[in-house]
Amino acid sequence: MNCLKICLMMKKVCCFLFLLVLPGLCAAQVLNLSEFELSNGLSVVIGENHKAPIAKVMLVYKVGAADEVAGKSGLAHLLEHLMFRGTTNVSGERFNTLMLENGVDFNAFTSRDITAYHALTDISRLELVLALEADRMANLKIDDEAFSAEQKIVYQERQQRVENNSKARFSEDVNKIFWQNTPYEHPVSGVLKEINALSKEDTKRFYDTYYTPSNAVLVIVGDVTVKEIKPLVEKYFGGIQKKRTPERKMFFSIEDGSNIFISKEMNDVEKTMVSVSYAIPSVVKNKKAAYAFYVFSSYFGESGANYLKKYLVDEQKVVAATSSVQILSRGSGEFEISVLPNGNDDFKITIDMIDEALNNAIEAFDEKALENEKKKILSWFVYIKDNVADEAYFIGQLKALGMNEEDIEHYVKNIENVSIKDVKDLLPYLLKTKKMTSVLLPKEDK
Amino acid sequence: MVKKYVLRFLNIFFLVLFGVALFVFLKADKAFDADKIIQNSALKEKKFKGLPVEIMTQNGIKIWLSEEHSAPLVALSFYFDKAGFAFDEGNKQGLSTFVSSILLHGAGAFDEEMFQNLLDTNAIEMKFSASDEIMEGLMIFPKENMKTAMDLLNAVLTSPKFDEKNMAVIKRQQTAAIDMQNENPESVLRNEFKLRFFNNHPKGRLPLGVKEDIEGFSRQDLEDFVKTNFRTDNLTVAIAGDITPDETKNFVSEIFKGLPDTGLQKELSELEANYNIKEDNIKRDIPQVISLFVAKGVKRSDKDFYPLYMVNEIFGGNGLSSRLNVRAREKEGLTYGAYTYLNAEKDAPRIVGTFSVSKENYEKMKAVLFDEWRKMARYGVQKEEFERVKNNMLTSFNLRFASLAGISKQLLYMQKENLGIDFLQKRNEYVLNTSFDAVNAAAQKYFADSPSILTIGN
Repeated sequence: MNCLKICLMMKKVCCFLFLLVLPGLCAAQVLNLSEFELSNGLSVVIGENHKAPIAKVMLVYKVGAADEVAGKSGLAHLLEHLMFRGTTNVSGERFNTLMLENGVDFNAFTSRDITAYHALTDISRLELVLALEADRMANLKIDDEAFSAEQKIVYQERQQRVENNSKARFSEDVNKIFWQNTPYEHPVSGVLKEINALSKEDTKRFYDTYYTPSNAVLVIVGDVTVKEIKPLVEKYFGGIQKKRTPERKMFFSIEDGSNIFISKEMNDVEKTMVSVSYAIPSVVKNKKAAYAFYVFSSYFGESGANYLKKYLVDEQKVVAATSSVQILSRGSGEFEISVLPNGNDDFKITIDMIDEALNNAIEAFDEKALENEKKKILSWFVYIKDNVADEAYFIGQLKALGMNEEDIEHYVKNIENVSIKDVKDLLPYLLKTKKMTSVLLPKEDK
Repeated sequence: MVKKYVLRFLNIFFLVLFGVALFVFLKADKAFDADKIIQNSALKEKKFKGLPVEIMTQNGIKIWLSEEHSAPLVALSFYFDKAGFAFDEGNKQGLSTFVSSILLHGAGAFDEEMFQNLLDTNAIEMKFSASDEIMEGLMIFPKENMKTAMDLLNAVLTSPKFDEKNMAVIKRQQTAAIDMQNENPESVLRNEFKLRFFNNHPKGRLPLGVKEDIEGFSRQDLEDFVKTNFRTDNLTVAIAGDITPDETKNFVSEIFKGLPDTGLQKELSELEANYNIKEDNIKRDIPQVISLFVAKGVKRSDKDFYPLYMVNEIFGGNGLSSRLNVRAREKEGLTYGAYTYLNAEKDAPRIVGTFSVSKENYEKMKAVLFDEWRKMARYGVQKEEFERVKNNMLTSFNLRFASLAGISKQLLYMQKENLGIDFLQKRNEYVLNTSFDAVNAAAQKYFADSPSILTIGN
């Protein structure tokens, strides 16, 4: 199910989600975090949560698809798969069996900026998870058979996730144009031709370069105390040799004033879908503007009683409309408005309506709206303590994206600091940044 | 539900989920001594402390409560029985789903904007969803906002606003969503599968309903739905979180205050599920073939439930180590994943499975499935596999307590399936008492007939 569709049916949930993606959703006072660093450079964050005798372990490597060199797309993701195929100490088969018979719920994912390995476990098996995680940080073994099987598997994965689905294919096209000439332009899963051309040596080199203690963040959240866990982390990870820390590329602003339109008719599409995306500053580039977009998007198209709902959906000018914002990135961020028009031919009118609504909303945004929106965003903060898995995800993502202490601990302050002027300034900003309008249409002769 | 949040969170990062792999037949090196690590673990096994108790409100509503005070939050789960889409009248299909959407658009003294604002500024998460037999509700809130949460939910249940404007909006959204199901080959396959498996019985309906019916929904229909379905005699309630038994009594009485305690007892016609769907393919121009397959399973209360559950785990269940995954994915690289699960629904218990493969891999994948299926029937499981799955079930037991919503839903499910309030204390015994022979008997019995298979894309 795509996001907009979920949003159509469950506004509330999306609103909540959106809040969860907040950078810095983890003020130290609420989360009670402890941080320390091993002598080999591994950064460790511990969160205590004593609801149940379980823990979430998340090991994040600060490397993702955006770090692949040209022509080698899919490499970070393929390596992620190979990390389950065994080390010089533990075969892949045994690794999986150990996880199974010890009841560990484990998996991994690759994004443009990070690669993360995560496990939910009973605390009595936490040490085992740490030992296995430490082992594969240092001792990965890639053999020919496993390599060739995984190459086939990631190919099948790409077909299943992307190529079976018109919308997913279109969104890759859009992504490619929006992020043109930046490392974000190729899909994380890779381009088929390039996946098939990857070699064992490519993956080994990537592993040797990026999978080092000083390029990783280990997050443990659960029924543990820092006193208990610190010696254990030291015991299993402390012995891993210190290596050169790879350079963390921070890149590419695409806020270049271009204005792009793309439309495509595709089989299997029933309803026209219109999206307008703007390149915006990420927290790394311009915190003030990033948080202003954050607060404004909540008001505009995310919270329960939002502007788009009131002025477009309820007035029956469109069937559904939402906005979303992504400000966690090494380059530019993205502010996106997605709309389901009334009819399949209405898209030109719809595009005008979106532009108009955006202008009007920024103009209408006043002190009262600002206070109300801040209150909403901050009130949801408390949920971060509900689920050890969620808490570990956030901390891991933020730390790995290079968020500093201040960003994480001063979350509340960052939101509170957004002023009316910051929001009003978004209007001139939107006029000079990159804008991309995309329309996905049903095939005419269906 | 929280999982859903996490998934969406990941989507935002344009992720490719999961990598994962296995089965290289390397010799395990003794350098890594897992048993020793576990035995000498500094962190020992502990028990979850918030086991449920049963309490009654003065007006006779039964609640299962799991007290858990580690965060100032409360989760309430409840359902109204026989209020799901299978019980919608034949010419009002989709009504229960429609009601579940419109309920959050204002109630009692709160107009929609005020209502939504109160939810957001008080961090109250409220959600309704209709499944085939029940209408389920979930509310999570910070303890300090309990009074507001209570008032809002009571208003929703007793005096929801169904104004024309909102009805029009939701009609447009629900009918659009019906069309949009066709955009995704997996949902096309799933829907078609349901129609055939349930033999046109109401349980096989699409939750979103029928467009013509939806367009005709009147305000009276919605009011009648609420009046006849939201009662205390078909209500089941569970709570988890930072709340005492006394607070719970009051809270629950206030929420369900004003609901009738009797009403029309609805029944569905008898269901005869079709386990022998004729093998068929839905044409669609996509690079892969996606398949769903089904065979007879057991209901939750059956003595074969635990044995078959274990057989399924070994065959195609949990994770990368199942036989199906090891052979089709890890060894041959045919698919990104093939898995099976049990649906223990009482009148249509089944083993269901699915896989997606490139067209050129389809016949091979199908042969692997049927071959493994036959082997399971003929040779059963090995002692080693049995021990592993048993250990998995025992050591993963506490993971179910990860979130309050997860806990309250678990308590709701325990009531729905009559598992007893001491189920959580007894569950590991049930697992330990499941014998190797019983597991093999279940393998022989339930894997005797090959599964029926439906595909899309070929």
